[in-house]
Amino acid sequence: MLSFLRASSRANLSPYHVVIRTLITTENIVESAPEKKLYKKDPPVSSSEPSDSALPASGMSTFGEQFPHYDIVINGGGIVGLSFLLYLQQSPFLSDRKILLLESQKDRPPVNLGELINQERLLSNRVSSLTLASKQFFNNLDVWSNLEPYAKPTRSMHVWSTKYSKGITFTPHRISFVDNLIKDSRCHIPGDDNLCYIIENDIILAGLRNKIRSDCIRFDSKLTNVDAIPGDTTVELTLSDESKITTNLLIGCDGYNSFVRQSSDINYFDLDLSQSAIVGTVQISKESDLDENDVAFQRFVPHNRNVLALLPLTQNFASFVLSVPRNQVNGLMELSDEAFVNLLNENLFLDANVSKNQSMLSFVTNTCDSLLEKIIPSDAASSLPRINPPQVISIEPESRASFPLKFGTTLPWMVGTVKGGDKQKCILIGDSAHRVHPLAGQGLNLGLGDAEILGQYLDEALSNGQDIFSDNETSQEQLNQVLYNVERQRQFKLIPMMTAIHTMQDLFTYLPSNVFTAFNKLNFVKNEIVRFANSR
Amino acid sequence: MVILMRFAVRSNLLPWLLSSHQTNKSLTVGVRNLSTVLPDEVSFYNNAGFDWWSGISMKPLRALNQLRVPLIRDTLTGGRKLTTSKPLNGYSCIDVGCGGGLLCEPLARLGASVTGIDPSQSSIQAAEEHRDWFSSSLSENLNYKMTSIEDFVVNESHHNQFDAVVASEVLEHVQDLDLFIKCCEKLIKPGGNLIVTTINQTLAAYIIDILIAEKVLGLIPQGTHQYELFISPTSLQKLVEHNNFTVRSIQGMMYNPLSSRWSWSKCTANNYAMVAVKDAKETKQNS
Ligand SMILES: Cc1cc2nc3c(=O)[nH]c(=O)nc-3n(C[C@H](O)[C@H](O)[C@H](O)COP(=O)(O)OP(=O)(O)OC[C@H]3O[C@@H](n4cnc5c(N)ncnc54)[C@H](O)[C@@H]3O)c2cc1C
Repeated sequence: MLSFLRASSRANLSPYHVVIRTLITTENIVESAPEKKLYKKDPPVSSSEPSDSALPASGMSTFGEQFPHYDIVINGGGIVGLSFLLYLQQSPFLSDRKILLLESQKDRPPVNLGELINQERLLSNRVSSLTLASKQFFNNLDVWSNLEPYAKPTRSMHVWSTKYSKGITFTPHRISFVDNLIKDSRCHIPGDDNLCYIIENDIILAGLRNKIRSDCIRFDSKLTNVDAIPGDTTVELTLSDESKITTNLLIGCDGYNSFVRQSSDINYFDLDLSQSAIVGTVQISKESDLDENDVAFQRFVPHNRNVLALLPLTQNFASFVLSVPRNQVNGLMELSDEAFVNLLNENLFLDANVSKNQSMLSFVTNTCDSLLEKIIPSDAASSLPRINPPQVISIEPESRASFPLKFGTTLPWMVGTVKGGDKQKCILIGDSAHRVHPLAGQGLNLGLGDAEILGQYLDEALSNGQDIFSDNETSQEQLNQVLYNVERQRQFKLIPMMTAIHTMQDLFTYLPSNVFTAFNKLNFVKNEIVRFANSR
Repeated sequence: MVILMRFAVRSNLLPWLLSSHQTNKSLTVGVRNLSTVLPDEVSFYNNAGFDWWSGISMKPLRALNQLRVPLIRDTLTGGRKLTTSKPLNGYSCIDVGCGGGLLCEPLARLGASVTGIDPSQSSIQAAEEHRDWFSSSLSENLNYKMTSIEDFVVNESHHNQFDAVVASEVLEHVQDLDLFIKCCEKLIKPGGNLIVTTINQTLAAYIIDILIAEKVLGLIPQGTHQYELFISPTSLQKLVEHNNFTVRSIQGMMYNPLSSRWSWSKCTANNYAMVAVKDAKETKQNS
């Protein structure tokens, strides 16, 4: 167990992969992590630095020089990048191509997932909920069977705001007549008894890493410059060791600070949500001995605009994500464990009425609420997954970590040209193209969807005998067509989903709670929401 | 505005907006001549400097590969799961009326040994040039020959040689269809497939392919298509079944010019594809 711990703490150098305790405790440190500065300040390194004078300043002077060439270069080996690479390795058409993945972190020592299961281990505080489509994707990649022992099946999710009993309970998708109407196979979701699965990010990474042939990964290697000249159908990449390579297609899986994105002409729209998330692992009370702890809870706390999510991890433990206004986060991170547990319980149990404020808005809300209450019969309690929310008993020492929350997206575009070039040569997938609030647990799933669709479309093109990686115009046209089709396909999913996530918080905070009671009865609509969330 | 432009580019509107000015002669659907086709057609197509591989007007035909390549591939492999990047290794196909090799190259890339024949010298030249310049790895299993099918059939060593004969977008230019099908039959191995894509003889086809495409929008030169040469799936089925084939499938094909994507459809009113198997023995002598 210890070695696993040490391994992960060594591996998690990047600002985003804050897994282990003590390493990083406040977002200030997160925000000022060195890598990021490097990207921000000096992107066109090679042209300005004197040490590079011996090297060609741009792609121009590289004429005649032959650098190693790859059909596809993937920048970033997070969960999205590794899944995409594994998809490529498992396609008979794509595994034939020359592929390289660059990852700035060092390789992790292999983790024996089979052995790990029998050991007592510390639960990591970075967890994700996987939708059924993502489970299916991992299943097709043949990694799900290794992940499954660690994945906590979640049977339902209860979302509420003012009153626990006036919330919405989402349950697994049921086959309905809609299934017969839908033609697009991507909207059909695999039948499953569960709503989603909660699993630690580290376990997913280890599962993927164990399956991947590592000869096409270069660890500890960062992209430092991307160069293209008009008319050229390849892109020239400079790596941190100053070696150069060329590629036909550059795929950015390098997270929300994407270097590929910054080196392209794809516009990024971002918004600081002025919120931060605190994550950690807690022990929670069981309702009875039969309680399997298989319900996810999410509360939009009305009086302080916090959002608290509890995701079940094991029989007794859950992972929490608490999003709070940015200015409070340092104070909360400094709280003692007991005080923090109390704070979590307050956020779960505190009744909104306690802090009735006198604003016009709340007056309107309350009036609507009492009107609605008369109309809707209140038998909601019967369908609750638990009579009361679970109580937090204790927090794992030093499991707290915080992240600034931001919203950012390149949509509607994901495909673009590299700065300096005039051909569509790069595509962004995962957080590099869309970073969302964690409240809906969708971020990773959207990224996995991108990876799967991009992989499928590339595979389809090659299986149709298309020549998409050659150095000529026809080939470029065919590659563009593939990339545009991926982009268009993803827009249908990403734009509505991101809009929904972005408005959800306001909806839950301002709508009268009886609206949710009413909504909770619309099983058909809920069923369709579950379908949308779980499909590609 | 910029966004609109980008949309136009991405949804392939641009070629449509631009194309009507540039097409005059640069276009035809792959013409494939037979003795049965008007003789001066060959010279017409010889003279028209085709831009098979990058011309805007060829875009629908290039895009048709999205349907016809998988159709041919899956017909040959019997729809088995593809486990190598050369699933057609060991299969031989002939593309009758291959034009600039738009269909031959993908098939060869999937491993098939492909022969492309076309009576037009300039088409064959374009096809060979493209192969040698851009796809030189295919030179081993992709050969072109300037000939018509009936001349090709004269050589008996070609008989019963091919796992598949592909006649894609060519029947609508053939006058003596019966002769054409008989020639195909000779080339195919018993149990091999005849794979056809063509245009139906319907009002819809007349409106889309002649009225709109030729007369109104001028996307393709007037006279490219003649309504009398179009053939309905039922007549074609009768014809091939007379000639020792059994029809396996007939599927409609739809083109969306905005996304430049083809899709399969139940409706065969305009374009359709037919797959027919050559019967093992010539037992099936119809009256
Ligand atoms: C608090 C919190 C809770 C969340 N909960 C959920 C949830 O429940 N469900 C869910 O689906 N999602 C969740 N998410 C979102 C999810 O974590 C992300 O969407 C997902 O990790 C994105 O994966 P990625 O591979 O795109 O990016 P990342 O995981 O950020 O990976 C990027 C990789 O690229 C590497 N890299 C970066 N720059 C370079 C470079 N220049 N050269 C080489 N390599 C480079 C990095 O080292 C890293 O390995 C949550 C996020 C947060 C903050």
